Amino acid sequence: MNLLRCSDVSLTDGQSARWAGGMTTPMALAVANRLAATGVAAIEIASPAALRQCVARGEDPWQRIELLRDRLPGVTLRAAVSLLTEHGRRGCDVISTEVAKLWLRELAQRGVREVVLIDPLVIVERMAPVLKEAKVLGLTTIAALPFAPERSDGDIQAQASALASAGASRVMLRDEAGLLTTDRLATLLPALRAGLHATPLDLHLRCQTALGPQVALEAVRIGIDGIDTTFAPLANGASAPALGTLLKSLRLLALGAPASEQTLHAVREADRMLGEMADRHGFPSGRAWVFDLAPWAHQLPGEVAARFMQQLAASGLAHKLHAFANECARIRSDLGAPPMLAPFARPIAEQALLHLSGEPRYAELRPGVRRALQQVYGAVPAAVDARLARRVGALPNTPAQTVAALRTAHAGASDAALVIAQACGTAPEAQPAAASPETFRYVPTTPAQALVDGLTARAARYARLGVQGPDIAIELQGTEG
Amino acid sequence: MLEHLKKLVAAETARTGKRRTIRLTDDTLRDGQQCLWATRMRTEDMLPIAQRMDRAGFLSMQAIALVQFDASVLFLAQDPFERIRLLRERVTRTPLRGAVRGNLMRGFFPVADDITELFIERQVANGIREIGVFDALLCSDNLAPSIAAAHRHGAAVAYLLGYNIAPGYDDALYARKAREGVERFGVESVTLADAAGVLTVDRVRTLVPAIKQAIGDTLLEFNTHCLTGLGPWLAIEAAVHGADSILTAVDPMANGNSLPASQMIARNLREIGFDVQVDDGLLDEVGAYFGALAEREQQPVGTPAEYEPSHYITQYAGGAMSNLESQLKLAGMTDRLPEVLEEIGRVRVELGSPIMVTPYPAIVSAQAVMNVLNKERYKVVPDEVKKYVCGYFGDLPLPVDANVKDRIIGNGSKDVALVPPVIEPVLPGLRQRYKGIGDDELLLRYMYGDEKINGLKPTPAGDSFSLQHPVVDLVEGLALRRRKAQVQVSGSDFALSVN
Repeated sequence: MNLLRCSDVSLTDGQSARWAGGMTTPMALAVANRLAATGVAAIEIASPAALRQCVARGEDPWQRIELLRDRLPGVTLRAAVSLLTEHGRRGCDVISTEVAKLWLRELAQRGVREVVLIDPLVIVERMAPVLKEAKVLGLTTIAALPFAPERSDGDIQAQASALASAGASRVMLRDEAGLLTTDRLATLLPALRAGLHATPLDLHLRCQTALGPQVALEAVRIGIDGIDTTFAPLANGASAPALGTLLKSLRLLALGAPASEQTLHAVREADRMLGEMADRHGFPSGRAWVFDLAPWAHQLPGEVAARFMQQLAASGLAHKLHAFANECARIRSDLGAPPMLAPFARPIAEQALLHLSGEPRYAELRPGVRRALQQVYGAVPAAVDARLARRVGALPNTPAQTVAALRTAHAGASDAALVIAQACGTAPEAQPAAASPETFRYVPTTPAQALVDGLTARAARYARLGVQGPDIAIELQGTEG
Repeated sequence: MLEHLKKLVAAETARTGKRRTIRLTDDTLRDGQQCLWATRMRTEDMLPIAQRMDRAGFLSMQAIALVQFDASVLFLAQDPFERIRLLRERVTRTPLRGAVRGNLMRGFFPVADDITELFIERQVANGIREIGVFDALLCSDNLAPSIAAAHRHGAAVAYLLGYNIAPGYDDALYARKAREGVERFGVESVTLADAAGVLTVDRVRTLVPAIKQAIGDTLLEFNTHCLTGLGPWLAIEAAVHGADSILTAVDPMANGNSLPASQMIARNLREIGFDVQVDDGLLDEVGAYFGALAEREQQPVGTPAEYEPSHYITQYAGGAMSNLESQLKLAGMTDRLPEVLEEIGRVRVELGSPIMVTPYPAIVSAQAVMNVLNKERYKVVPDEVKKYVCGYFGDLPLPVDANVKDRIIGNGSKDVALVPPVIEPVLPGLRQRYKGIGDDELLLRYMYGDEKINGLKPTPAGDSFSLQHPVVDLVEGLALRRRKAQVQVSGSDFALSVN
């Protein structure tokens, strides 16, 4: 067996799925060295979701990438790029080849060496030129191959071959809903191997069904070249498997070269630091989720699953999980069976929740559902419900703006800002500017301190305020009246 | 996975012409609290919820076993027979299940049949309607007196077969043992019991059908635990492959070291096409009660475990492992633990791979330590090991390696007779010693000694116990009154006035 490459996705998918995207740039910078000390093959520092989260917080996402690069000398940095966007701004539902090339260039200039290229619909013709450009820029290209349980091994194998032929340096099977089983791996992995020939095969999987860690081990046993992991406080549930558990289990099962004590110690240290951070900021711990069959029906990916499971519980609808899951499946079928990934999964879940809450089906259409029906992202695998399609009508084709036109329209904006505008649906002029590096110093704040800060900032709204809790008592004199 | 399971169930429904019903057996009050609360749930905390559990639709409810007897007397100073009685007053529709552990009562060595039989009689007399019987050697002779006693007193018998990962413990062995339970004893149900949660899904798919085929219409019950996080999946697959009932605990007393959750199993089994007749609303009420109780008692609730393969390899109970470690520490041999563990694996197989529950971890590890300490294996043989191979604990599930047996008999103490002596009845002596007390007390004094039994406290009975603040209860109580005059209540830190 070749040496297994473990790539870390804590700073992107891990914190998106488990901390609802709440890892600020100062937090990421504070832990970066600890993550690198574990010797992971690469660290993913950017993804479409992470860029969006940064912008929403008022942080410059490019500055985050630069600061992480400076903090991680000698570490292979990875970024994920998706050709489909979720924001719904006309003309950039699909990232044009030209903008994608620009995106890659901006990443490469900032030290990123590996790019995971995602097209949820796996339209190879629009991926190929981007893969080609990445190669020109000296990037290792990892083409995403989405897994869906209803698709045959043969279908997935054919896509894998096509991606390899299109120039991908590696192909990554991505099981964003954690639906792979050891039964399925037994046939799928050999088929993919046969289809890929010498192109390395990586695996990215989530743990919504609790099978993730078992599937990861079985995948290593059958033979994969790389796997995405996170650190324990950001692992399991809707996230990827935990690196520490994986390494210990591999050692126990004598699979591959055993991890050294030094490595395991470094992993424990990173786990500990992230655990303390989670505790300090009130993020939930990285607990496993309980096995359930519902994910095989709703197929919701990572953070979308996390958000909607939480929403069901908060609305007292946890007992209707299967009804929700089946409604997701029905809506998906009405939309022509798109892959359960961004930009399709979230609107489908929103629509299902509307139906579950007692609204007549499709009385209201979520905007993302409307766009999916209009097929703005490209052709979906099956027929769209004709009645719904008629209802939303066809959308006039809005051609993507050329980069030259974008530069003209936003004369003061940098190419980097244009990329963010296209990916996140924001105005290039309204993007957060780079801040002084000093502002990114991580200051550990306890929840109690955060509460006091928040209450003090709102002193005008009260005269006196008291907070009592276990081990805490706060008395504040306000300025009202 | 979902579609595949649905197809399997649909094919069965088409073949038989009817949807199969899967029952749930509740194990919250016995195993759930054993796994999560170290068996510290008090009787009075079970009573307020017992009636609702009774109405939830369980096939039966496990009320008590030896561990609960121990914890009740030794740690809670409560009479376990009283627990059975108080539960029985409230649980009137659902059979309550008790248990015996072969012929070992609560100790390390086999005891006389008369005391085991009385133990069963008194469980039944206090309200138990089913007796679970388990022997770690799968030795049916050890269970024969218990089964006969249970049947004699009108109780049904659940025949437990402990799952074991070891050479020779194949599907055929389990099928043979299960058939024996049904044909020889006429037991009412067979339970495949996976105490360590180490069954794999592949094994469930062959083992459950093999046992089901061997026992025909007799009810097949499935038990597993969630230490690897796979328990719920195993339980669902077991139902699909022929199990009639699943042992579950009500969430949040489920998952982690505990059993799969009743609510989750019911919903998922229905989803793939089975009928499951439990009242989900009541189960959620029961779960809310235990959640609040856990919070008040500062006890943990079950949290799903992350999958780790180490569980399949050690199979060495946590308690036994800590004993071994402290013994090696005393002997100044802590550094030889890995060697001893490896030797334990070898000795265990040579001794016929008994299931590693009391007393077998101690017997196997005693020999393993001797083998590591001395240059020649089996040169020094602890008495218990010689007794074990000579059948003092019962017939062995698999033959002991012949060469090993020769060495054990040759090198073991000559004081240990090759043929086990007949165990003399103990009741005549006990009755002589304790005159004028009832059989429940007699049994408890035999099991735990006079000092412990003298210290037992009566359970504060009554179902008025509430997890809410007393003021909330007061307001609710007042709101329920049909005639409302003006009511004024004042206390040290509150005043309430109701019109």
